[in-house]
Amino acid sequence: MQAETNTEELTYLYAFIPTDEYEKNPFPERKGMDPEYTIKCLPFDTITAVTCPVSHQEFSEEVLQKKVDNMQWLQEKAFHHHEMMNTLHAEYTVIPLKFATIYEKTDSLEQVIEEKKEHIHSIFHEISNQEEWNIKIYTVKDEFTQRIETYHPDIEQKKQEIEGLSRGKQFFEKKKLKELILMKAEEEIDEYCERIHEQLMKWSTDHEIKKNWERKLTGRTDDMCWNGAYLLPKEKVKSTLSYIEEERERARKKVFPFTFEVTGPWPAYHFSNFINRGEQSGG
Amino acid sequence: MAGESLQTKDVSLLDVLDAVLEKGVVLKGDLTISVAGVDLVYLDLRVLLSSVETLVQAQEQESQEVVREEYIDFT
Repeated sequence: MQAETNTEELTYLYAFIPTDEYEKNPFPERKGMDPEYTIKCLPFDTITAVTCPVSHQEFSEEVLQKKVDNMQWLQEKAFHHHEMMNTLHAEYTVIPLKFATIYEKTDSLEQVIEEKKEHIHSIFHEISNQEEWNIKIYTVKDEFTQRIETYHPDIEQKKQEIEGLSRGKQFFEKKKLKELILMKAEEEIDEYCERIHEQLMKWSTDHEIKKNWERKLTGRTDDMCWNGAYLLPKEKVKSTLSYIEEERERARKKVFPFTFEVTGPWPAYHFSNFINRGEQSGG
Repeated sequence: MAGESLQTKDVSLLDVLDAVLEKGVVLKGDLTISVAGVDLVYLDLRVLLSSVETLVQAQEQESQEVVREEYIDFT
C-alpha cells in the first residue's frame, strides 16, 4: 500500500501487528498520542503499522526534546503509549515500539518496514500467543541478616568457636563473623530467588533477569532481590501464577519472609527487540 | 491472583517508564529524541522518578480516602 504523506503532520509509531489479524478485527476509532488526531492503522503488505498523526507544533524534534524533561507530560504520554500497547495486546500479536518513535514521512516508515520485514515476521512468530509477565521478589535485607545471625547453624557454631578464643583473637574473628553473616544472608536470598527462577524457566520460553531497583526508586520499605521478565505461552500462565501463589503462601509462613509482586500480562516489551538479531540500535 | 490483569492503576509509573522508555523495539525514526536513550540506571533520573511516583501514590491515596468517606456517608 502506498501510504498518504502529509507534510503538515508527523507520524508517531506505536507498534506493528500482523495485517491478517488486523483485517479480521479492525481497530476501533480511538484518540491518539496527539488528542487532536485518532489512531491510524497503516497496512504495508503483511505488516500493519499502528500510528497516530501528531502535529509539528507539539511533536517536532525541538519541542519534544523540551517536553520530555517535563515529568508530568512524560508520565501522561508514557501511560498513553502503554495503554495503547495493552489494548493492542488484548486483540493482536503486537511488537511494541519504543516511546517516541516518530517519522516525518510515512515513506520512510514504509522503507524501514521493508528493510526489517524478516525480523518483524520472525518476532511475530516467536511472541504469538505468549504473554510477558514480570516477577519481582522483595525482602527486608536488614531483618533477614539479623535472623541469619540468630538462627543460622553455621553462624551459631562460629560464635561458639569465638567464645573459646583469647580476647585479642576474638576482636578479629568477630569482625570476620559480621562479614560471614552478610555473605550467608546474600547467599540464602540468592538461592531462594534462583530456585523460584529455575521453576519459572520450566514454563517460560524466554526470560530476562533485570537489575534490582533500589528502595529510593521503588519507594518501598523492603528490598528488591529479584526482578525478572518472563515470556509465557498463554496456556502456561495459569500454572505459573498458581505456583507463585503457592510460593507466596509458603513464604508467609517461613521464618524468612519474601514477598512477591507479579504484573502482567505485558506486551512482549523485553522479547521483541531486533538488537539480538545482529541489528544496531537506531534513532 | 490468577486472572490478574495489567490495569494502569495496578502498575507503577516506574514499571511503565521502564517498559516504554527502556524496552520495546528500537527502530530508526526520522526524529531523534534523547529520552528514548535515557538509561534508568542513572541515579538522578531514578530519584526524579521516585519523587514523581511518591506524588502519584499520595494523590491515589487521597482519592481513595475520598471514596471511602463517600461510602461511609451512604451506609
